[in-house]
Amino acid sequence: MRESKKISLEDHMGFIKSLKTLNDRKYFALMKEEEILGSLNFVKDGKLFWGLYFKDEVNPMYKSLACYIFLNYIFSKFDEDLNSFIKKNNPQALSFNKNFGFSEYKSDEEYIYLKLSSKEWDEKKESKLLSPVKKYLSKTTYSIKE
Amino acid sequence: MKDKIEKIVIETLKELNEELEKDELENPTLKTRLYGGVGALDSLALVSFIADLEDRISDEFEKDLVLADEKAMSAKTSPFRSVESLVLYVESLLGV
Repeated sequence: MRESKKISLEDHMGFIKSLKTLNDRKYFALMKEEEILGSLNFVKDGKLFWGLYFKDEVNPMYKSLACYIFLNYIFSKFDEDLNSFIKKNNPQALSFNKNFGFSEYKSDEEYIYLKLSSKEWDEKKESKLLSPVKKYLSKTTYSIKE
Repeated sequence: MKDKIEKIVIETLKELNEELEKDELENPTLKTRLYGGVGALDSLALVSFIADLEDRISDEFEKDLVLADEKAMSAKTSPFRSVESLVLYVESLLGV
């Protein structure tokens, strides 16, 4: 999260309404039945970025499968590198991104910057780490609603 | 039977570690911590491990298992916290 200042309810609601008409960014809620477990988004602001948020107690299975599906979704829409930036004090998030194939390309005082290409993602899906996930996903029922 | 389950769990971990390259998973034992706290696996690695393990257990014992059900994943004392707790959990699911 880059913003830490307070946002008014009015500004926030305006932002939510604007999302429906924007094609350069999409925000998805991860839902199981009627419960929201987290959110995933991409923003094309010059570079293409993704962002993730999950409740602490969420089943790791849902979190991992949702990210796998979301990366496939992003690379079906964009043929360019996907970027991510992680706070330096968040090693779990860094490891999580790297396990999906992201690699570091720079850092500053606060963040580590990573990227993943479509080709790298395709290769990563065949890895020892992700191929069981791919197989597991084939037995899972899910849908993406835009 | 328990020894066979332990062997499969450890072999599955070792193979996964060929990619993860974690020191603590080079020679896993019953005491090896897996998930949560100081566990060696993050959420994605856990999912990969469980998916692979389910296949191997099913092949070996000719019985379909779902290791990652809602109850197990959300339990306060997760069966995935260590190799030992996982072996006991698989044993209980197989009913042996």
